[in-house]
Amino acid sequence: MIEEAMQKDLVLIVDDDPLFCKALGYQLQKRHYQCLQANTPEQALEHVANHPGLQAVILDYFLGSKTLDGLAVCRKISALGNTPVIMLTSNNDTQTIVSCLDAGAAQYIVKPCDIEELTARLRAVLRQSQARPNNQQHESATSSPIIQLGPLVLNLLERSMSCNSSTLSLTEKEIAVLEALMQKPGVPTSRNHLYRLVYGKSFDYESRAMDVLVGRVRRKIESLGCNISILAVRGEGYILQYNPHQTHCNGN
Amino acid sequence: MDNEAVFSPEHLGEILETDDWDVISEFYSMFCMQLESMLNNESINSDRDSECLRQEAHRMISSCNTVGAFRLSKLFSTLESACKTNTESQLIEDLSGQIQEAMKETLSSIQAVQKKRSET
Repeated sequence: MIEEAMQKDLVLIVDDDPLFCKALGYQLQKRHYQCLQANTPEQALEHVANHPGLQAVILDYFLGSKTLDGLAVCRKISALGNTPVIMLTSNNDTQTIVSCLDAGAAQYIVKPCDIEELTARLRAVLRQSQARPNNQQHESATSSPIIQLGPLVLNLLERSMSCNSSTLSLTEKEIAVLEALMQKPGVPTSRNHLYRLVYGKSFDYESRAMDVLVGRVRRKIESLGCNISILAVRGEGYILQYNPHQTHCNGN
Repeated sequence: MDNEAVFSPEHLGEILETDDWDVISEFYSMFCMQLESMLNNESINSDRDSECLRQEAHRMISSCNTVGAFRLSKLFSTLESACKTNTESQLIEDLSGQIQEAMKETLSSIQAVQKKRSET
């Protein structure tokens, strides 16, 4: 589709292993991303400086450089602007994750990584950064990862939602749905729009995947005892409704 | 570790979601060049500084996993851990020797697949 061709996001892949870079670039290009590759910190920073249209950076934690490691490059990219960084790490111990997030990474993923998971995280960071286009000149690189509607709090970094002191973890797809609905409470969001956000392609009218996914998010919200509900509006999609004066549990 | 396949010829095509041999072959050639260069330069040599060895091993793990050279990937991973924890030099020396052999085996396995494909 013409619309899809025009919407190719430019992504920079940074890894000291050229073969891995090339393979990941090939996989992402198949998923309609435009890719740049860098094998050294210097090349990476040059690409960031020379490509203002860069949408995201996928950056190796290790990077194998004596001058700058992945964390240092992440800090520099964060200091240069708002391009979100996804760190690729070899292990998922707390110290590594904390150091990635503290360096300004928007997401992290453990190698060897599944391409579907990586692209889901990529879509997540792109959604976050595209949701605040007008603030890019003014905000620091540490935009809030928290979205709140009444008592419902969505934490994008921790991939969780909480309400009434209870917290539940969410999958990337659940986050995508809830984030989109929470950004426009009371306003219908079309199935097509949600489908594109979650799956990165046009809505498949045969598929029940979106209804199943929304149903799962709805049940999770209900299980928190939150007075917020997701309603299906015929012909329009889904709407997130917050009733501040209604207690959820009585069902009246 | 010994039971790990030297090389899985289906893996790369699955990763790249393609059966286009030109594409697959390009990746194999790139990987073979990496291995040949490492063998020629004796990059995995226990006489080298352990930090250099660790970096070299780490860099190769992703490449090996990408093309399906799983035995080599495991060996590099073990070497990386050994260098990280300053394991006794005898183990590093043994691992380096095993890696040299595994690199040669992997190289000939990939080249055999390439030859077979070029003949068909």
